[in-house]
Amino acid sequence: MYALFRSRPGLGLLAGLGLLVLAFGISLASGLQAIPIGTVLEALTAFDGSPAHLVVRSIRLPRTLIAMAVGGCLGVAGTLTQALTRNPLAAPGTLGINAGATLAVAAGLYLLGTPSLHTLAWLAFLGAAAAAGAVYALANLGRGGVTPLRLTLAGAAMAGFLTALTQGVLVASERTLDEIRLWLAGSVAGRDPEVLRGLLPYMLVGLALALGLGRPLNALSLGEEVARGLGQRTGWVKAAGAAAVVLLAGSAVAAAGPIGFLGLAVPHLSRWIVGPDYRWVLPYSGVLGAILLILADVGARLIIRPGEAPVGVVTALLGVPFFIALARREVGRR
Amino acid sequence: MPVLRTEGLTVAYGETPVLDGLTLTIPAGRITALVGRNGCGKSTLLRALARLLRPRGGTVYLDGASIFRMPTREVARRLGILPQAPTAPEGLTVRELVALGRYPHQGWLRHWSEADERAVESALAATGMLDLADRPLDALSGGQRQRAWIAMALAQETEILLLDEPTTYLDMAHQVEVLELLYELNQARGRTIVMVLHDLNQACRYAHHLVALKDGRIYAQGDPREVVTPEMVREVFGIECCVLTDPLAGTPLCIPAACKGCTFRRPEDARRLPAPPPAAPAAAEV
Amino acid sequence: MSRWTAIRCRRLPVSFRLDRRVPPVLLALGGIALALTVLSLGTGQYPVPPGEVVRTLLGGGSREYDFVIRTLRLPRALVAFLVGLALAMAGAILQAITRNPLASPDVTGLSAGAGLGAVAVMVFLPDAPWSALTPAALAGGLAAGGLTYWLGWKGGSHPLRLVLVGIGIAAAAQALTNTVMATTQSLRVGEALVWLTGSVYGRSWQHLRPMLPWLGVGVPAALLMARHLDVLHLDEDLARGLGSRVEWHRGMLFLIAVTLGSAAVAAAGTLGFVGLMAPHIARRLVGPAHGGLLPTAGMVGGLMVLAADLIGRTLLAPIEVPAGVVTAAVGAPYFLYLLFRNR
Repeated sequence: MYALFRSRPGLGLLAGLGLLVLAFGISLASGLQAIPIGTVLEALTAFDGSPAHLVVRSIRLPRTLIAMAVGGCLGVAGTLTQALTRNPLAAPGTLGINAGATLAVAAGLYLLGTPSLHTLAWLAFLGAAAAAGAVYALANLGRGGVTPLRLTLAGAAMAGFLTALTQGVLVASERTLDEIRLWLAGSVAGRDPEVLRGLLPYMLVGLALALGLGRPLNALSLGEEVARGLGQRTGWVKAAGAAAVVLLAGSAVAAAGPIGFLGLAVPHLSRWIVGPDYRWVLPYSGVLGAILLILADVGARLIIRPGEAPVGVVTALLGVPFFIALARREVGRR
Repeated sequence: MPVLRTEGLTVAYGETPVLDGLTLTIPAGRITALVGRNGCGKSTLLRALARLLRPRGGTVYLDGASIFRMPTREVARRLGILPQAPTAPEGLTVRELVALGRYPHQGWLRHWSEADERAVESALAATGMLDLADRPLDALSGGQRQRAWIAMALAQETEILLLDEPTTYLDMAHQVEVLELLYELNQARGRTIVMVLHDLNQACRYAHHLVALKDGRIYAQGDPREVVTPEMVREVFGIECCVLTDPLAGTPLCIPAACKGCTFRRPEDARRLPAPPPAAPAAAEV
Repeated sequence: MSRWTAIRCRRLPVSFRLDRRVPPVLLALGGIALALTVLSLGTGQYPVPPGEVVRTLLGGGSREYDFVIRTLRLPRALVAFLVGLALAMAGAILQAITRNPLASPDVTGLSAGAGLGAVAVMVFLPDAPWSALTPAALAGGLAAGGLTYWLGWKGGSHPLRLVLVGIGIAAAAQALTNTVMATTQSLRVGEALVWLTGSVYGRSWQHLRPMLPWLGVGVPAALLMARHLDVLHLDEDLARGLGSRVEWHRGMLFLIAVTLGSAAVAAAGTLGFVGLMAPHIARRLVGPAHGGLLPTAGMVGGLMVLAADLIGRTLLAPIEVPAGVVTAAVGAPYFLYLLFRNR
């Protein structure tokens, strides 16, 4: 099947969109109270104010939309990070970019009281950019260039450091702790639909920027020098890519907290399906990330009923085996 | 004198056999060199002799007892092994390293007996490392470091010493230094030494007994002066050569010619070579 | 000539060797620890001058000093020191048996696993006594550490792979911990969260006591096995050649490290990077031989947590920054330094 998608990538993308709609429907229908798909459709087209309709429209619809947007952002951001660093273990989560955004948001909530959504979004961008810059600088410190492993370890240490600082902020202010505990574990539940509306412009700019980078990234994947030899201004490509990563990861964190391992796994799955051409890998990653995060959120609702797990937990539990398998393979290759 | 021998030794990594039913007796009190091409199984043989590898078939006997059945500490008191390019933790001093050689002689509460101390000092003296004893290993030159490792193996006070390519990564002067040290140890103290050597000429010069391996079997063994012939070198190493007599040591000296009949840049020199071989066996190697 | 002094019993087969560097270093560290303890005991919302602290400790203080010092602050300081000691020794052992300078209880996922075990008990068995946390932490630490070890070592022994796998395992344990905490609305969640950050806040004698038996077994066992550690720290082949029963010794030492690390986690939550840094500092002081390294690392670790607690209490007073935040803030840059030091 996947040979087909490799030769006709557009077809696969279409199939992916179909799956996305399916996942969307499943997400609207499932939860503590399962709602038949007919009722779900009625709630969307002919809203009558019944409890089931209310659940669909005011609870499940917003969270599914947020999951879709955040998943798409993280998938694309992960692909960009891996392409820019040429490192299969890179992702906004593993490199500490999510942790930077989280720290900035937590600090903002602590210091500013109740800042506006846009302030928070810009704080998240700032945090993400600072963390990304720091990891990149660190990784370039060592002699003999950056090996993927060292970059990943530097990111992990950076994430540990930033997370500790975040915890310090939380403990310093118990109010913040209660407000953002769920958000900190990565969750799309109970978020105000306004959040999505506010963040959507940033997400769209990030996505547009990313999708425009497909061709330059193909050249870059052959190595910096080759890309330069092909007449590419690699500095600009990298800067644009980094800006897109910061926008995408920052707004994803602002919307749903740090959700790990999605950005790591999705690029690998996309490349496996469609091959190495970034013009296709990027949109595939977006669609795949959206599907996976919606389904992970459905899982989060179902695994510990009647309670609910943060979706970040589900992505971590699914993503860790993936990460370990990758780590084992990468080290073996060295 | 301790006798180390193998019987029907078969070792395999996964499905590919590396040693194939190998039977060998190591002459006691002498220096034995294992030679052969890369991948012929010489290091594997050495590791199996030191019970670091479990054989799939056959066994290794130390004075008639299988070393895989003996307590490992018991073996360590009689047989020492120095792996190829061993690594030590950062900052470890030479004396600390050499003292680790006493490990098999120590007990739960007996960590530093007088015998331990004597053995360490005499190992340091024998290898000329007394002056450098308190220096960290990483501050030494390659040759000094290798001498320190040999001192550790000496402090173990074993009758048999196995070494895997003790001269790798050393320059020529240090190679000679290490080999002379081993030769002296054999002459002065009668230690049985078995080593894997890459350089056939060094093996000829320092070993009493040469074991040439090919494809996991012994191709030839014996006194280097009898074993080393152009035929043997062609079969074992896949190279044409001319065997002379070392003007200093009187041992065989092998001058390589060419692998696959490649011509020399100076044809007038090539004339002095033996007649070109029939190309068939060499081509079959590829 | 040599830096060693031999200590031998003439009649019995008992002999030891002492690196002359070690006693002065241990003595100095002990002195600093004492001074820091006195300072720490005197610091707080109700300051007590150092002279009074000493007098109270010796049993001659006034009644209110007695309460503040001996009931409130002393157990906290002792827990801090012992937790640091246990973490540091566990780190030193792990670094030797994995031959990996980056290994430590937190990097190998051991701390996260122990934290998971302890949080599960806190949440699911709210009435369980504090001493039940340690076995639960031990089980969690053993499972997570064992998994890391197994996945990180199979088919080769690259140090970085072990660390990467450990990071993954720690993330999974963290996710499970979050799940456990999400299943309940009980008040223990807030408690568990603060505790997970790694702090010695509000530790009393009842938190100290459950730690002691585990340390009482783990510390002497580690010291007795020091010479096996020295050999394991070399090549695998060398260790085997020297007659070490490598798998057996490594397994035993791993178990000791898990015991020490888990006991520490059960008492104070996950204090990051102590187990990583302390052995390196100790190695600078007394070299890599474990007979001297283990006690020195223990002292350094204890000092670090004591100091971290003191700094956390005074830095933003009256807000208390958990000691774990302080150690992570110092430790993460140190980890990066180790990572990029040579290559």
